[in-house]
Amino acid sequence: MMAARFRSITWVAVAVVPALACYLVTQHVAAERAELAKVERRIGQTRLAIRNLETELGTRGNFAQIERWNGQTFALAAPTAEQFVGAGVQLASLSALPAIARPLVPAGASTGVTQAAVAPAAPAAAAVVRTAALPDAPAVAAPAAVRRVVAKAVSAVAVVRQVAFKPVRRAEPVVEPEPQPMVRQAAYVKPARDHAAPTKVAMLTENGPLGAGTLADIGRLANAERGSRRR
Amino acid sequence: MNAPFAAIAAPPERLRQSAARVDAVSITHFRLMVLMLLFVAATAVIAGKLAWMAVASERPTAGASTYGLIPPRADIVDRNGVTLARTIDAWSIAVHPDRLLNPPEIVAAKLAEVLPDRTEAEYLAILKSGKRFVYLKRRALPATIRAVNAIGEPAIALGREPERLYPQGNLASHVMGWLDQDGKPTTGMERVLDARLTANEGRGRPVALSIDSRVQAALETELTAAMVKHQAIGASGLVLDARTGEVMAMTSLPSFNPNAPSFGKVEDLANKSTLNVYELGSTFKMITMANAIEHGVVTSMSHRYDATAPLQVGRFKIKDDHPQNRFLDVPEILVHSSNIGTARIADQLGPERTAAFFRKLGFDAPVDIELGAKGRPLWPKFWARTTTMTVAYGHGIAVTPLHLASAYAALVNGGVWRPATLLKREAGQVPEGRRVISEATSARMRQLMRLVVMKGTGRKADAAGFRLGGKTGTAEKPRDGGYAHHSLISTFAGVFPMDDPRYVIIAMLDEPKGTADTFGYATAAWTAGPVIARTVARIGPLLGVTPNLARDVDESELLPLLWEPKGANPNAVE
Repeated sequence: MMAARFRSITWVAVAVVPALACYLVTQHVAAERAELAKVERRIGQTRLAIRNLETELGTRGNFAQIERWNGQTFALAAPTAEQFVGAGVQLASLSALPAIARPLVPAGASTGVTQAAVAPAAPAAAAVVRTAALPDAPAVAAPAAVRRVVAKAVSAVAVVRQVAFKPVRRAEPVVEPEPQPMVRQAAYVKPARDHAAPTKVAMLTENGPLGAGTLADIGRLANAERGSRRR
Repeated sequence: MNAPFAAIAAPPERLRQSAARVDAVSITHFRLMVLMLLFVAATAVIAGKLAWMAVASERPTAGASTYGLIPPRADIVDRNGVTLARTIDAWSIAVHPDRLLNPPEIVAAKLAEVLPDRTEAEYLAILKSGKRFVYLKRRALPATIRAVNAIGEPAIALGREPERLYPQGNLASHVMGWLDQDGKPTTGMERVLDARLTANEGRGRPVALSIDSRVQAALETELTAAMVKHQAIGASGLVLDARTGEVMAMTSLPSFNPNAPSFGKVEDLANKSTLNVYELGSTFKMITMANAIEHGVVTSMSHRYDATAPLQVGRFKIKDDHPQNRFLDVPEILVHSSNIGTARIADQLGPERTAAFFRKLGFDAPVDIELGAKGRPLWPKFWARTTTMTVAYGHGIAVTPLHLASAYAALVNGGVWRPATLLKREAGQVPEGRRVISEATSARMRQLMRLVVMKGTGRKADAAGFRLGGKTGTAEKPRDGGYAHHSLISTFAGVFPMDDPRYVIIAMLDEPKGTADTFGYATAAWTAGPVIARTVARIGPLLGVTPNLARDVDESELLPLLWEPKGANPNAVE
């Protein structure tokens, strides 16, 4: 009886509830869409702000201003042709110039830029070039030799070392008492660890250019430095 | 539903009762019906609303996210995307004098304090005029706006309106042009590109010019420095891509600020590179020589021409600026910039071939470029024998510096003349051009141009390592039917790198004066040459030309032809 009486209402309810549900969905969608529009508007406003800031930055840093800074504040000049390096060989030759007295700094830091640039092309060359450039007095023969070696792209390490050490032999009396070159020498000794045998055979015999005492000194300094660097 | 049967079967007192119930039931039915109708109506409304939303709401377009980003006028950028012109929302300050609330004297005093462009009396006159609307300042800074707002006068209207801003100021102002008060373009690329800049489609995309602002800035700086140093009344500079005809830099000095063009002098608004025509002097000797080699008039570089004495043609006497007083071969004619030698060669060429070659290079018509303001060259009306001789070294014919740049590009790029453009050209858009000289002649011209800079009058322009070649040109300004001997047009037309020509560079100084370090000389070698050297050293690396001291043009066959007297200073520049 009751069910029969409420049947029509039930039908109405059946019709209305989904409709209401659908309406809720649309409301939700509309709200989401409004949110999206708001975000997009904010994106637009941000882009506009970026554009305005770009304009301001561009106007404040225009070429006239940069020119003023370059010319008057920093006194910059156009680079000359000598400042352009065309090839790796030319780059390597830069560090083989007659050495001027450099401050005592750990190896690696002193010629950092040059070394880094050379290293990918000829890994072994980097260390050698530095050594050749360091002895102050006999730098006459060294650059030429080194340049030749670097040009050969340095595969045979032993040969390189031979060439590079020659000036040291002649300079020994002058160089030895000075602690500074020796420390640099020590910095060089490090890569030689990997190829210990050829080093001993090729250069440093008992009556060779470097006596046992010198070698011991070098070794001690090298150890000291290696230790200090580890710390 | 079975109520009627109950009523019939029921006894009378119950019948009354049941009648009342029937009433109640029918009322209930009626109410239920109304309720149902309400529900139906509500459902229908909702359904209708749903349907309408489904139909009426369109998909959000992609453009919606660029809200506020489509400027009313498209930006103009250089070839690397640096903004050269942009429309911004600028603050403007205006006043409605008829709606003034405060006493005008007080407002005028405060305005004069904040906006010192006008005096207090002027402001008072504006405020008392009773007009409806007067602009006080456009494109005001936010700080100024704040100060004006603090005056607290409701009749002062602060608004935002689109304004054209040129962030680089004077840079390439003659290329850009400017907009007038109503936002209408007056000259320059603003006018040329007006339709494209304001079209509905494409306003969001900037237009790229061929200008490289770094090159432009370097050229303008160096030219300005030279102009100030030599007290020249004007200068013009050009950098042109020799292969494509794109103008990398174009300047005309003194320049103006397109943000406030009304503050500049009227004569400075003209573009000296395309509008003014000049007799460009000895720079034309290269053109004549190319013509002579191309037509077989000059068959051997070692052929000698008589330059022992000035050349008398009728009443006219052709003299050399740096007289050698001997026979000169072809490289020597160019290296010493001999008018006599060039005139002799031009005489052999004849007027027809000279005029035809100049026409091929476009010297008889306004220069081929987008800009509206283009000067018509002064073309000789009658080609007498002397005319042929004088135009050969750049007198008696006047063209714009851009004419010369296009011609030089054709001489060195393998012999193909192409129209110049201020719009960026992609690789496929470079026009075919027209051949003016052969590949072989072009190669010879490259050697000769480099030789002039290595050994001749162009030595001051040599930027070490950039393999620059070119030719100086010093011309006297025509005045009162003759020539003014101390008013010079000093030009240098150069090309670099000469072993693979990429860029033509031209510097022209109008009436330079000699200084102590130029020993009083105001000729191109001393004034325009150093500008070229400094500019090339700056712009070369920017344009991808790496200086290399180990490379150069092969001059082995020409160098032995240069004779130098014993004991002469090889570095002397006349």
